[in-house]
Amino acid sequence: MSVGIYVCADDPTIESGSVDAIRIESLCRHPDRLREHATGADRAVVVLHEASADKAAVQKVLRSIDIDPLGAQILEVPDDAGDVSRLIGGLAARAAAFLGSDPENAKPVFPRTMTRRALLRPPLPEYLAAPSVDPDVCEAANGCRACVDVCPQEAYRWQAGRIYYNKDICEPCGRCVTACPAGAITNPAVAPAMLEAQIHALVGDGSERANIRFVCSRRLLRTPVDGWYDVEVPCTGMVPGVWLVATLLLGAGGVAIVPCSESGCPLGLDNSARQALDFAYQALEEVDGGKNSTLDDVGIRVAGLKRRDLVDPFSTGQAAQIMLSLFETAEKETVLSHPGSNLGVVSIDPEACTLCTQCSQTCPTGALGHGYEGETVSLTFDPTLCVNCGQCLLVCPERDAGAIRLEARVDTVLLKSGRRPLYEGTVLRCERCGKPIAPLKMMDRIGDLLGEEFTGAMKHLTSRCVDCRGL
Amino acid sequence: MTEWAEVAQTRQGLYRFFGEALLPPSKERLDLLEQAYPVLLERDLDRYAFSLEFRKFGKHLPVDTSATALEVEYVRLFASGMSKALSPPVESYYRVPGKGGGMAEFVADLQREYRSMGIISVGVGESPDHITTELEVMSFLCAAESRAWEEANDAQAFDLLAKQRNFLRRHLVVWIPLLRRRVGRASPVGFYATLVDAVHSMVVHDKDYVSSVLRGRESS
Repeated sequence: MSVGIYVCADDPTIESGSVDAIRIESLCRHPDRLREHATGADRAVVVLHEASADKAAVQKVLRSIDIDPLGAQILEVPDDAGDVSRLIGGLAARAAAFLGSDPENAKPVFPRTMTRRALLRPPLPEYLAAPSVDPDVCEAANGCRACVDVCPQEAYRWQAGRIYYNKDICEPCGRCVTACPAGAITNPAVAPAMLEAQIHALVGDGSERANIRFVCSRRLLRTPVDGWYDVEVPCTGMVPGVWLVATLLLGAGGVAIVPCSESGCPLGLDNSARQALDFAYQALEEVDGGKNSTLDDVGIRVAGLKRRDLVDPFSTGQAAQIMLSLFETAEKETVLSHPGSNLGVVSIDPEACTLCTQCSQTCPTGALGHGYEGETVSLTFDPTLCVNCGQCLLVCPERDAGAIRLEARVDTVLLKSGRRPLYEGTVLRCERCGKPIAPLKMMDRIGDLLGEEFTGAMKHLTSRCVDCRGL
Repeated sequence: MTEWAEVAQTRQGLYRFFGEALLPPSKERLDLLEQAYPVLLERDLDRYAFSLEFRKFGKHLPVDTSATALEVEYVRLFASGMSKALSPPVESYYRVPGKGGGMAEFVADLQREYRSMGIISVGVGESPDHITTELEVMSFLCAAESRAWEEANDAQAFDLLAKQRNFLRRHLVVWIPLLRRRVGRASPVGFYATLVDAVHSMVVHDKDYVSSVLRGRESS
């Protein structure tokens, strides 16, 4: 994809360095001038120097030159920003990695209240990038409702095995994107490939130290800090700890999270961001006892961390790859229990578990599985696939008895050992056709709950499968 | 004309345009589309997200194949009878499981809904749930909204916007994506693929746009 880079020429101190940029007089106040200088590029980076520049007007002009504004990178630089060539290079890489959007992803935003004055003329809408759910990938039919659990605005609803998303009340924060265990929810403006491309471009070959700040898109003023480069996300509450670790493994000298305001996240997601940062720092401490990492008011800084080639590090399901990469140089095997962990470990209490397999049927990543062999039904667990989503806990009918537990934990021994059995028991088979009916423990439990008067019915249910019962 | 009335009139024109484009092609109809396209584009359409898909469709005007070839494509996609058309452009086909008698009931419910909106007859020769009919209904509602703005009857204008939002939510936004998927599989590129993409983009956007306007009013 070709990327056109347009810089407002009014602030002569904005330097684009060796980046091939087109400088346009008064671009901030006259974004329509983009049209005259359009290069036919598929993507765009627009560099403005006035905080009051009208993003909605810029988006309108971009559409008129066939550029999808949801993928365009609009950078507002403060006065005397100096050389922003590296920032521009990062944004150009991010724009080039944009794959396009669907109509469902564009959310028009108007002023919150329509005054009588506003009623005189329709306001120019600004468009935010909203998420969309891929029904072919979504695991709602199996009971997953991770997006419902994490959304701070309650924009998601689970009903009869389907997820319903209300774009009207969504204020895109990205939490659903990183929380979806199946990777069914995407936001085209913050696609994993875009983040990876931007960070690679900012970090470069590592000859000049570059530190990365994940910054909330709602933040109005960003004070530049020397050596720190911003990567914008809809809300820093969406940034999981493994992203911070991945960024360091890609060669950044430091990572930080910059929320939208010091007075607190309006979506109530401050704790998520703090937890993510703390998790990343604790993980670094596990590697070498904290000898080469520091955490201060700005963020985490590391020294001497070996760069890694990571595959698609910002996509769903990469936590195991990232953490194993980090810990491969640790002196000993690592066990890190932390609420910000993006990996989890499931354990079963054999006294309480009835092997009903609800957990494995619901598990959206396949971390929990079950199988039948002969007279045995077995529950298995692959820790590399567990993203600590907690859906298994929600569906377990014996969870109050502690049948299933999930701990937010990175355990390198378990990660390296692969899938292992958790619990197994006897399966009842149809006396007529031999198909499995249900685990014996589960039917015993049901029988206990129903009581003696259902003994006859239970005998019938435990001897024939559903297909053979009427025969 | 007030600016709100102009916006409503633009939307009326777009729904009418798309409705025409989804009728059987003829030289006269294609000429009309070719003339209407730049007029609509000039109405500041780039303000809206769907203009990208509208522009993509516009690149197919004037049509570079013969009207006959397009007719064949139209019949193949939309008009070979319900069982043979690759992508029947009627809502009941996508909304009613099992088809048959349920479709008649669906259509009857839709006609009742039209009457409740003050629409007595839908007379473009197609069934009440045909895409051109439903687009024409939206065109009608937008025209009424434009008149209301002109008469400074804000309450009626917002009432009509609410009717539009409800119709879009209950109908067009539900089944047009399914139609789009079918057309995309049957004919991934070309006139009708980009046309249905543009219709899809327009109705999804319009639902969001109208909802945002109404929400802004409700909080003022």
